[in-house]
Amino acid sequence: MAGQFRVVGKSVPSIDATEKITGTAKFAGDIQLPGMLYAKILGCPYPHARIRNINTSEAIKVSGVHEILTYDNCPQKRLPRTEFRPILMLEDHLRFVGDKVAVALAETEEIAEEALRKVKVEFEILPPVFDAFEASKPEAPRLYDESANISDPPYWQGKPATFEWGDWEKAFRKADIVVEHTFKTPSTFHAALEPRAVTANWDGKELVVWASSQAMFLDRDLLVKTLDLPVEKVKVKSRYVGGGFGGKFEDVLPSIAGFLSMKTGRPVRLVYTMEEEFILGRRRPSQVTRAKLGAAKDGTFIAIDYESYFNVGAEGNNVAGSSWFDTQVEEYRFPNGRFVAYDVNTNLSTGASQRGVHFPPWHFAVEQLIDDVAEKAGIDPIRIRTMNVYRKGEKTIPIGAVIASPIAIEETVGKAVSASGFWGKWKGWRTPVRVNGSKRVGIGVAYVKGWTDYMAHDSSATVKIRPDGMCELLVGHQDVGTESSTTLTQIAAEELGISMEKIRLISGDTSLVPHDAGAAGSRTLFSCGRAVMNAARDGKKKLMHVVAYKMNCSERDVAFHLENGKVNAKGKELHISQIINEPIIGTHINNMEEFGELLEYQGHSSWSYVRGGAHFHIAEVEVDTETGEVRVLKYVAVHDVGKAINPAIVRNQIYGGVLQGLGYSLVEEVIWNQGGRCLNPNFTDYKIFSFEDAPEIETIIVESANDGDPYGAKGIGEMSLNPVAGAMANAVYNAIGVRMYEIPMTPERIMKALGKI
Amino acid sequence: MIRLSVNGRIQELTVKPHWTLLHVLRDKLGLTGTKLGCGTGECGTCTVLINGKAVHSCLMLAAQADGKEITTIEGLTTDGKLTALQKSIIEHHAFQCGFCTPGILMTAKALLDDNPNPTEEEIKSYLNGNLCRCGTYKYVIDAIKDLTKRSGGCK
Repeated sequence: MAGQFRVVGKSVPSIDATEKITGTAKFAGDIQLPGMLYAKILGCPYPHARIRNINTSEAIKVSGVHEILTYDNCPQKRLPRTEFRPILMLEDHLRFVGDKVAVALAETEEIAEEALRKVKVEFEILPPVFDAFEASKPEAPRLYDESANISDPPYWQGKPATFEWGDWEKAFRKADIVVEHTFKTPSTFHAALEPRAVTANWDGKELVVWASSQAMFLDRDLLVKTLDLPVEKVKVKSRYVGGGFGGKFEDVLPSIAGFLSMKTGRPVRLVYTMEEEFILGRRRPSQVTRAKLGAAKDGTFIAIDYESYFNVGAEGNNVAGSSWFDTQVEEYRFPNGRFVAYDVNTNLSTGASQRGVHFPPWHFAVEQLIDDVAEKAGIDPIRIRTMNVYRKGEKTIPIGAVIASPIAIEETVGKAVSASGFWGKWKGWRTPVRVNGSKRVGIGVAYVKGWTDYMAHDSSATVKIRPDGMCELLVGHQDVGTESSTTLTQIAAEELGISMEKIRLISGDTSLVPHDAGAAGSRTLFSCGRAVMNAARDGKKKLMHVVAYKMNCSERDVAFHLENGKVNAKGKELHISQIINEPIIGTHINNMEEFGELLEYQGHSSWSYVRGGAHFHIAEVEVDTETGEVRVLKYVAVHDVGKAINPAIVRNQIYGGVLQGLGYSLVEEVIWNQGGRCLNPNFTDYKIFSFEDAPEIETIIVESANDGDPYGAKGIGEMSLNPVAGAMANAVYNAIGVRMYEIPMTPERIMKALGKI
Repeated sequence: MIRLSVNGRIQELTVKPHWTLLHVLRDKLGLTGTKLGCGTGECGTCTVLINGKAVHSCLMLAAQADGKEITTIEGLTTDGKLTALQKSIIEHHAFQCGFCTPGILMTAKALLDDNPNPTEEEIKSYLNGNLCRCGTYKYVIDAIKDLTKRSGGCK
């Protein structure tokens, strides 16, 4: 198989390499325009308040100030969003410490800050609620007048998202083994090193917005709505983005900057400080999860009961409940079950998707329960997983989707086991690998069934084959650092039979490229890749048709050598410029039918996520029982990606995902004080892994058989993070014989679990 | 009025006392290759060389740089030719989003100028102030190690 590819499957260098290593790549905050004005935001000092009166008369007098924007002089159009409540640009109702009270626009950021100090606000202080469980009660203070704090409106109408299948209560009664625990997982910052930035320019005819975004088309659509502009007058540009990890979605900032530019006729820049990014940006929702797993005595799963409270903060919505319920419960075969999810608004900053969304918490809980069942059944942690995973062709429960990908569990596990030396180290349940004084070494595993088909229908691509022999690739993907610009160009080069240098990628501009849903759900390589592949094939087919017509022969007689710009037919060789004088345009718009049928379950329509292979992690840790410190000795991550379009880029995604997962397991946690003020909005108090913290991580790629275009390739971005906390907690249990029900597993929590403090 | 040599060019500017060197480089001289990440000396995206030493330009006042020789990412290449370090970074895919990359390159240059043959521990220690949320550390280390191995110690 591998031999038949020229470009695909090779670790070719990034097509953006020169720009990224010479400093010429322009990020949204690097855009400088003549006459540019700068915007700054005034944050609310209270966790929950209403503006009774706001006086900006002194602020506007500050020399160099152009505008002071508040709730009563900004557009009153709600932002129609999917993962968030439909808020206004600025509101009189403020829902967390730091929430946007006013925006100043001035000649410099300093002048804008000076003006904000002169804004006089009289607040009506409202009772706040910070805990998701408390906030879910009917008597809790309400964040939104129109509904209670359990969000998900309009879908769930203020009730938790609830799914039940089989007779789960009876199944638990019949189960030989039942394990149940409550798990706590933290809120974490996305912590992209580029704080979000927007530069907007209205020239009287068109609004151009440079945004650090994961979905420029979503930004464009929000601008159209909030600023009441026809879609052809709004252009969003987002070619280079300094990391997203789920945080740079559907933001209000482009609307604020765009409105200010339209009002003043000047370019406007709005860039967050890192502290603002941490407080006003986004965070992973914290979760409290009660999970219960029932099994037969041989370890076969019979039922699951999973109930989780998601603290989605001020504006979060629809993060957990109705989204991807199926992908979670279909990670393993659970014939009976109940799944209940509360997305709860609280007076903390907004919770939103972060790499893996609710899968890392799910795996932290469920992978530990699975080990508990295995221990009670007297089987090892590998066997319990291989016997309960879905295989290709099986119908999932409860949705009833048919698994389309091979689940190469034996190969994946085999590679993980041999790379980690698992069987030489595994001594049985509660038996550490070795003990050296106070230091105990443990080993643990976790499995993930992948997915990649999220929003797969919302990608399209255009390929232009030009008379000069060059090609253009137009695609709406958002490369936030996953190097999809490179891998998509590889796919186009492969299909067109030309070298990558002959392809000019056009991307990052909504006015130039076809629509795409953006960088989310590990979807880009699969869905855009599929569109690119088919657009290239369409272009070739059309060219073939033209050649046959012009050379008066059958299409079967035509052969391309596009690398040299040559076409052969009936013994004649012509340059492509002798055949066409306008580009041949190939297109493809992914459609629903390509991805199986839309399934319904209890009124929840779902694209079941049937493509995604086996992913297996093994962690080996050393726990110091005197200090509570957990050190990773070796981490092995094996991922079946179907086909690695660019193995170096895949390895980068695996390594980076594991590193974030280790941070999630061991150190990362947003902390608020009792008044809802964030206490660690900086990299000193919120630690992310550094050069010296990174342990040895072995990344192994498995390429199972082709199960669909493009070449069987699947997304990897989130699969690499999802199992980490589960594997780490299982390794710690193996080392110390005590289960950790809360992450991060800080020294303090380890010492508490050991009963030493 | 201060006088800086930036990437070999003399720049004379009037600055306010509280302006940082980073602000002057990015917003007054248009050298946006140097990034503003945290602005508080924790992430390293703003790293430049001052008389050959790696410095967080967000923590240094522009006035403190008066009379100094400054090299930014834009000055790393000469006549558009990539350095061996840059080439090695490309070969090893030692970046993802690229936002931290200019800072990492400047710190790595300072390291190699200082110590042409660093051990892995020395590389990690020297670069520990440069964060990368995408998590490319291993590949940066590989790129530097490979470079020193090939050249038997390098500049």
